[in-house]
Amino acid sequence: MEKQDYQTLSEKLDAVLAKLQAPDVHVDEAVKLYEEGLKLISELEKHLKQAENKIEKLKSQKQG
Amino acid sequence: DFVKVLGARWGGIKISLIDVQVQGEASPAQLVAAIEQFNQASEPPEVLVITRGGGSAEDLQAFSTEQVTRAVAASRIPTLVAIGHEIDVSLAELAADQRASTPSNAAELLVPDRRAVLAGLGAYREQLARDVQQIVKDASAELKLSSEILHDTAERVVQGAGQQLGLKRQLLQAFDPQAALQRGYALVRLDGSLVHSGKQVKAGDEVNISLSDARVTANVKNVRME
Repeated sequence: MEKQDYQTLSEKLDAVLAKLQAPDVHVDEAVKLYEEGLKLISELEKHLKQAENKIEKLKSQKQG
Repeated sequence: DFVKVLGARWGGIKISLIDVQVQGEASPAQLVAAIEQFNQASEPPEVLVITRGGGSAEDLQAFSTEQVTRAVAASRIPTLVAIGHEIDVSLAELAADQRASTPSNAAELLVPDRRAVLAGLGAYREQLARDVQQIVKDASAELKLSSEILHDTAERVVQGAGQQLGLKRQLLQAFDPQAALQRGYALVRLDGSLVHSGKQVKAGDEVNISLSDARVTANVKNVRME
């Protein structure tokens, strides 16, 4: 998957959730959306973890 | 005395000397000539010092003559006159821009004491260092505060995003089709297409039923619309 920023990924996740919540969504599509949503969430979590690590690193650099 | 004290207090001063008789009959005319000579110089000095050491009242008389007193008063160059001792006051001194009590005192009035100036500069330097240190200290404290705010804010943003993501994950999991199957629901497909309605199947059709842990192939015996 191409590296995308948090905002873009987050918007994609919102779109997936919106589609999933539509009353006429078919199960096959729902499974696909669900899978996509999980992938997006893990990608977003990676982003957040990286951000946290970076902040920690910068903070310790400042103190060191 | 004057030159010695001047040199001791401050260096690098150019002194132009005109020696004149400071007592006797020739004295007043020579004094006037010297004052005029300096005043007419193409590069006149910054200050004109007329001085002599102590002597009897008669010895100092030349400096109270009218011609010398007028010449001092007429000088365009600022005049500093120091004649004899402190108690001796000549008319030339009174006509001068500034009078000094003795030749040494004239030198003291003319230039600051190098040592006092250096000590003053040293004190300035220390004060400057203290000021700069204080400024750096203040700026450093301010920067530390800003840096803490920066880190706190960044951490809060990331934490907030993490919380939102957690909520979305929960929402997504509510739509997990597998969870529905585990609760006992089943999916029915005919020729690979999901069966949403009884109108899509008829008796004799072979359908595939997805359960949470198995796929079942079944034949439709009867369809009753509700």
